[in-house]
Amino acid sequence: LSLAAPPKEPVLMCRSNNYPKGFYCSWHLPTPTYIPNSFNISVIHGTREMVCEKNVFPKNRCHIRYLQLFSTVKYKVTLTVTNALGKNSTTFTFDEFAIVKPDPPESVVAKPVPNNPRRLEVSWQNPSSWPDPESFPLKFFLRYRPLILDQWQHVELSDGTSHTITDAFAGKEYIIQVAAKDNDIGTWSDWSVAVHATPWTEEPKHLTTEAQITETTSASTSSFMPPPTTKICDKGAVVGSGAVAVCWTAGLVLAAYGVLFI
Amino acid sequence: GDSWGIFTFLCAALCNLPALPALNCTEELGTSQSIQKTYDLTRYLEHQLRTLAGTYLNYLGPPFNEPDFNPPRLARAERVPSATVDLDLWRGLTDNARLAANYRAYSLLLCYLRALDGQAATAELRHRLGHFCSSLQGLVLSIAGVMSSLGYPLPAGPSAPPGTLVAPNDFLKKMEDFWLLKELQTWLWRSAKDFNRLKKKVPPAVVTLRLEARGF
Repeated sequence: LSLAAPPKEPVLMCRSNNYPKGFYCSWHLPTPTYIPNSFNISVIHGTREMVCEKNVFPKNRCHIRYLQLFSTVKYKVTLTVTNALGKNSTTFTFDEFAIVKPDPPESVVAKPVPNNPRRLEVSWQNPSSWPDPESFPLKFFLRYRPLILDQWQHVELSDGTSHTITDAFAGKEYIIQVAAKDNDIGTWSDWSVAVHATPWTEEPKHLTTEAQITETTSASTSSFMPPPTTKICDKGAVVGSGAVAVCWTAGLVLAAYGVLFI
Repeated sequence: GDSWGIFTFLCAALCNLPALPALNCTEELGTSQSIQKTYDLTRYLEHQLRTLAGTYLNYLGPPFNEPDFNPPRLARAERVPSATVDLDLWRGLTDNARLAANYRAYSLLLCYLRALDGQAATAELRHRLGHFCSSLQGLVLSIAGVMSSLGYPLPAGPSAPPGTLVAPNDFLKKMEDFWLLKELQTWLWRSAKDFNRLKKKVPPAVVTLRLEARGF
């Protein structure tokens, strides 16, 4: 049997994922009261009281349209929760620019590049909730790592919705995610849904020496960290015999490391 | 009382920005590069302002340096044209109007900040304000350069600020300073968006055509 309780101070957050259209606020109670609660939300901008339209779904959320852009005056949102045993409230005051946080990028796709064992081609789309990427462009943050390693590689991109990874370990399955942010204001979105991809490899009977060596080294402890020699291969982004020779050298060095650690 | 009289005089003296000569020879550089440079300047200034505002608001003391400080705007003539604008109106601005709005705002803001610098009580504040004013002047000149290269006339330089209120007390003077910094911050946020839009609308090819047309 649970005892009915007056509401504790509610948790309130506001966010603009559709800048410059408007923002939404959502709330919840930190602990249940076990009796019905009613929520009242007020939004004050300077001297004006604005109406936050309650969503049908999800519940405990309301949305509001900006009447003006680039405002100097803060928005003050007050949420009051009431039930038969009492009431409680919380307030959140913020600048228009501070709550901008897009939704994560959509339709993230990662594909191997034929005849390129170190490359992965990643593409994505602007989140559909972002209404005007032309006037309010987004920049992106890409992170990727092979499944066998814990350390992420990061790339920040100020333009475009695609990127080619050129330093992937041959034959290794990668996990890739992308995040978005307005070019100038606000905070980064959550990470997108993760996608997996493995770079192109030749047919098994023509397996390169490097691939065989990395197969051996992957059997060692998970704390194996890639030596900085991988940077040599970065410079060899142009696929040519010279670059391949350097990569083979790096592969042999990897083998030496691997043997040391086993 | 006295300090406001000096303030008005200083502003009138400092605000006669020299008229810029038409920048004929640098047009080949590309207006889009100038727009990019102006955009970069607004981002740099926005970053610099964070430090400057922090220092200045701490100097003003509470409640001005409290993060949630949200005072009502006193009903009076605004010193600087506000960055706040209706969305559709903002979208529909012509390039000329957009640039002119930025130019006017920063010219006035520079003027007011120079006055603040003149009154600054500590060496640290004078140093920061002085540095910021130099950078802000760079921005004003950069905007003027873009307008010139696009063939737009520069708006008339700011005269002495109209209807300057004599602040009856120290607290209200501090409020004025607080709002000045807020306006500046908001303009810098807005300008990033303004120059983003201009970047898209003025590709290098357009500038080349314009130059050729003017030559004949």
